Amino acid sequence: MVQALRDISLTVPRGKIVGILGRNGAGKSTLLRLLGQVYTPTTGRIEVNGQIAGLFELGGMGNPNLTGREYATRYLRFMGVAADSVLAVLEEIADFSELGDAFDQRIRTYSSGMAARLYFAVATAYQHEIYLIDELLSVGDEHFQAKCWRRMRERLLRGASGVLVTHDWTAIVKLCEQACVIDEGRFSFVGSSDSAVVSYLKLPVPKPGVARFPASTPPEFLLESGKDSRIRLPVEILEDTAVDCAISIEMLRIGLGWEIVILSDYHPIGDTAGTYSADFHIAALPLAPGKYSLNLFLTRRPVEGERQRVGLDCRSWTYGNGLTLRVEGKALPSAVTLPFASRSIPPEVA
Amino acid sequence: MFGFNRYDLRLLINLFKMNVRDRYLGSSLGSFWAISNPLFMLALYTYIFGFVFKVKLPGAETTLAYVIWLISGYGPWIATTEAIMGAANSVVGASGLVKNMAFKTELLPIAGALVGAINLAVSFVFLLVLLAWAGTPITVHVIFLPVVMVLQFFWIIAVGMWLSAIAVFVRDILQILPTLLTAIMFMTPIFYPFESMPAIIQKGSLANPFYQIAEAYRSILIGNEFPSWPGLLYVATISGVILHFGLAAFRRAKGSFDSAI
Repeated sequence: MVQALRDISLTVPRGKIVGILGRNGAGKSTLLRLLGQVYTPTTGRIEVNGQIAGLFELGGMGNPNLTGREYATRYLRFMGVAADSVLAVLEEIADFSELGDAFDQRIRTYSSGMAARLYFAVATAYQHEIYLIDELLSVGDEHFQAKCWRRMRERLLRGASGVLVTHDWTAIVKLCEQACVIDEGRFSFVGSSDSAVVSYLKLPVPKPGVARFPASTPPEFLLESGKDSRIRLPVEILEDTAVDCAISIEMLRIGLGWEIVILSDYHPIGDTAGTYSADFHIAALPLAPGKYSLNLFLTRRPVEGERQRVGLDCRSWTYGNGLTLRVEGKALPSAVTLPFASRSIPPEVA
Repeated sequence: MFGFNRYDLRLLINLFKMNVRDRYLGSSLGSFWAISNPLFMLALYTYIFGFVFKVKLPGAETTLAYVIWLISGYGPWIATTEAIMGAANSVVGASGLVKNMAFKTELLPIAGALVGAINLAVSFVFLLVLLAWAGTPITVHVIFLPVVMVLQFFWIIAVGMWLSAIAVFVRDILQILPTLLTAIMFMTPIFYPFESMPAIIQKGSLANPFYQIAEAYRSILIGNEFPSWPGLLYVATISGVILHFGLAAFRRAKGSFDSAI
């Protein structure tokens, strides 16, 4: 008898989606189905407050001989949607899935992308109180994925709660504030989703034997929006090696998204041992005031023909040792302000 | 009742519709087969025994009397076979549903068994035509037909509850079941009268709920008499007991369905 899960304790607050990160076979899907009361736990207790929509194996209850419309009707009826409101929801599903005429054709004639679109549209058509989501936001093309994200946010804003299990850490950062890492049936980490990502990725920090950012590196930088800015970093080269340095500024808004805002080229630091300073100049800092994460990378300069850079040291939020960049200044309605010049041209007088 | 409420009834109706629809989905005539299949079987038996073999019941003048007697037993039996197979297959056949939806899976064998009701209805219509043809009057006793029908399905659901859960872990029973049902059919007096059976089987038949049900149908439809109340009470009791324990076993086993399905 294999025990898929052990010592699991999880609370999902109303209006939040808690992420569960884990590799294949870690017990993610089992946990999700337990929460969905599809499986019964051998020991322990599960309390659910609200109506559940389980998005486990999309299309699991489908018969490929059904048409899209029949599948949707069947799902809705099964979920207990009243007959008189089914018609309106069906229209909405046809619209969201963008299947057009194919909505009335048999599912077996669909491409996998079309089927995925149908299944997602059907599973999320109705505002449920609780969503249990398994890897789902990897369906369809980019245009459709964006729609999926928008819909999940919408459902969240209207008060839905849920659990998202995935091995895609970017999805966790985009949708969840809290996350757990599951490993061989146990939670190896429970906490904020960025820390969970660090714990999940467990990226090996290079041993700083050749070059490093010394301990005196300030943990936080303060810059002013729109002004010419400079980030000065101390760098120690311990062995005679050609060392390059790069920085990136990333915006990490837990539960909403994560993106790289500024990514520098690799700049040469030095070739011989010694303590250096790396200066990065950014003219008219195009960042809105706020908190960013600042990531630093030291690599050996690649020799001719070498493709990959050998990392020597790094500071990054994905490693759990990133720096903070605070940008101050006047709050602007945009994330990035470009130096536009504008003037008004009066209409020509006839 | 038995741990079900009225929401489950709605779900049961949905599952039943789903069963009927999925079964014939993809065939161009669709649900037409649900009616035409049993009809064809009944017509075949009528032809063979009525026109080829010309079998006559002891003491009866016409061969039609035998055909009516045969169909009144064989018609419900077609429904029984269909219902038991439907129930036994119900959980294994709905693996997508079982793995992805939270619902009372114990409704599956019930919905699976009820598919046999279509066959039963077809049989009765067929029998009605034969009775009209023979000019046999239908008496007041038919008001007890629904009672027997309910008992028939009560018994099938009780057995099906066990079979559906066992089939998840031991698929082999789905292979042996059709053969086993044929054997039971010949041990139950359906093709020949009770009196022409060996004495030992006669005694055993009294404990055979399939026999009690077949006899009840024949009493009502041909004998123009009330069914044997002790027999029906026996079927009701044994079905109730088997269903009670079957449901308990099913509910305990369903937690492990996921590892076997």
